[in-house]
Amino acid sequence: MNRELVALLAHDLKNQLGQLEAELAGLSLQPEAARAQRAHQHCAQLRQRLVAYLTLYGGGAQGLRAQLEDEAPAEFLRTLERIASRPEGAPLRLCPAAELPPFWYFDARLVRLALEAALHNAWRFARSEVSLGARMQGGGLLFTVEDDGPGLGSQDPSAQSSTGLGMQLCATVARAHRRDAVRGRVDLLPREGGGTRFELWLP
Amino acid sequence: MRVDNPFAGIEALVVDDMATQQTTLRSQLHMVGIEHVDAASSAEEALRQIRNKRFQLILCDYNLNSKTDGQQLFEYLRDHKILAPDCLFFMITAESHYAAVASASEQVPDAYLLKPITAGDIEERLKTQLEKRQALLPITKAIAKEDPNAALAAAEELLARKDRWYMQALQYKGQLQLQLGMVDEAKLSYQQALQLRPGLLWAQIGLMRAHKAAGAFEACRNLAQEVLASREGAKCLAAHDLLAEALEGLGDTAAALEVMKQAAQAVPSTRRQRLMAETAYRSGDLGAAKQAYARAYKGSQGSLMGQPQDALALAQSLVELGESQEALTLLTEAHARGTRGAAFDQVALAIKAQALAAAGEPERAKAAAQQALDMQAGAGSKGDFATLALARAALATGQNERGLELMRQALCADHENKRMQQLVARALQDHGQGEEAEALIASATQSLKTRLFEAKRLLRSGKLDEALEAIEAELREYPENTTVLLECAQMNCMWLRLNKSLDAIRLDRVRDYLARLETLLPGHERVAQMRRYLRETLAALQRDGNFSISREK
Repeated sequence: MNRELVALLAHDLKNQLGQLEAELAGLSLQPEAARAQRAHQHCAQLRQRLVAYLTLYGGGAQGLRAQLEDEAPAEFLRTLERIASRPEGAPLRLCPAAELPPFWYFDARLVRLALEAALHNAWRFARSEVSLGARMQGGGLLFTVEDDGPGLGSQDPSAQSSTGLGMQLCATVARAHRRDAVRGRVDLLPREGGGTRFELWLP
Repeated sequence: MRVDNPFAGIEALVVDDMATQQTTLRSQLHMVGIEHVDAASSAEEALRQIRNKRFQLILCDYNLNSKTDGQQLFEYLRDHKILAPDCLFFMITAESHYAAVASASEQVPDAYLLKPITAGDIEERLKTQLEKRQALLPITKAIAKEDPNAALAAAEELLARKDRWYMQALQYKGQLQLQLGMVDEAKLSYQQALQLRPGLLWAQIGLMRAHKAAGAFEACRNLAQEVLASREGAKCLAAHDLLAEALEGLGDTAAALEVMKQAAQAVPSTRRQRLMAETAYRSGDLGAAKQAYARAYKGSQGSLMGQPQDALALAQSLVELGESQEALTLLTEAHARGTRGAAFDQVALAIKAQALAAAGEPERAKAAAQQALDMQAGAGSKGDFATLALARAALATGQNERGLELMRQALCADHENKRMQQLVARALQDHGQGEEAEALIASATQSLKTRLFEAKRLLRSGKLDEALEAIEAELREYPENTTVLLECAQMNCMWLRLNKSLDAIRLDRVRDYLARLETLLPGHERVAQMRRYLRETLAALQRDGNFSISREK
């Protein structure tokens, strides 16, 4: 990993940690459940980012390895509704296809990590709607995250710096999923009617 | 507190050496709704608690900062059947260890949880695993009742539902078919699984077992090599084991030893060192045996994985290498660690006698040998390490007749066992009687062969009852003789066919023989054939008469 990237990551984490510190300082003066809950969310987000970094850069020379298990896609989708790092009031609509297969082989932990990153990305840009879908396509399982934001190529509206970490993580997770010689892939596409559509396809 | 708490009744145990981590896990379990949580800070303490109380969930850290790690604890619990069948075992590992741990373990826990863990992670895993347990219950219940036929029927039923547990049911189906000797059917099940998901490790392993059970050692070897060359299967221990077995089946013991060395390198656990050492000792590579036994012995001291046999096997290897002084030191050291029981003492004395004789102390050698041999009086004939050590002690102290008699016993215990014949030949060679080996093996096995031939002659001349009586008398004499066990199983099946009877006692007897054979010759083609023969017998009887097949006990 090069120096610039290390500096960027450290900077990113420092900012989020600073924010969390301020929240905790405030809480120690005046405890309040709602603010404590927000601090918890921020902590979970920070953890999510750290795990993402580690997943990307901590694997050593071997690269990322997926432990494929038979998972139930519909069930799996529902667990994403309850992720701890979901910001308060962040919109999320689940749209599983009616004819999802009863099981599919993937690494639930890694795919959750990737989709969590994709969701955070979508929440940064979305106006009022983010949807998470799953269906079969081309002999593989396709997860989609759609937002009704300004679309591809627009400026990041949030104050947070974006390191492109999320997409990189998703691409690495997708590639770690293989069926014979076929590997998984990710795509960012314009969404019909405006906004962005993220795709994660697993063979 | 939750109103609808599905986990309220669960008794959980947290195993972690760090007090803070114990507290965290405990409070996370409380958040999930599990109120009864015990804690242990080492594998030994955990073992005590698990023996005393029935837990439904164990959360165990992989790294316990002591001799025994979480994976070893888990394997110990499984091997010794200490874990209740409804107990879930979740292993907690650091991110950096996970891939190595998960791809190279002898046994896989119900789930791996990666640090940092949240209450949500635990809840999700628990929910999924409990659902899975529930779905597979009809199968696992039948297996617990030792009724593989009913278990297979339950697996078929689950498969017909084509739901989320399809692959789990298919995995059970293959296993059960192998267990019932339905080798071709098992092959089809595993091939079906591989069609649904190419590269599935369990299906490839199952296919190797099916090849082996069919006696197709080459097919087994080729597939094992393919798996070991792949990224996912490079460290797969089962593939290493099956490859070594296939190579031994093909007569290439040197290559088999090489594979066991690789496995011990990939996963340098005590168990792997031990397995490698056994293979090395058998094939006469005493240097490799010594090294690996020493690693197993030293590596497992003060750990759950420790076994007294390691010290004995190491000492025997040292004696055979001519390092008698080292062997004596080791035996004294092992003895100083406390008593290990009469069986241990007897073998230790036998090895000591060999070492003393080699070190030029014939009087002390003789005294030790005598003490060991006196302890043998009245013991039945066994073809094991202890009997051979005794025989060697007798030969080393000039008690030739006694030594040969013990070897004769060891040979008859399983008279077609080539491994034992090789070990006997080597012992005779070491004591300057190599040229007599062939004659001893021939004469020891001949009388038993003649008696078996006699029993078969009775059978051919239609005197089935007399034949059975004769063969079962041999089995009483040599209860671990695999050839006799196979004959007994077959003749009893014939008796059932000829008498058109489903005599429950006789059926139970055949099943008992098959169970004994499975422990003596795990996954062996001849055992698989016999299982098939029993199944065909039952099917034929059911077809011909209006019998209903008596359920397995």
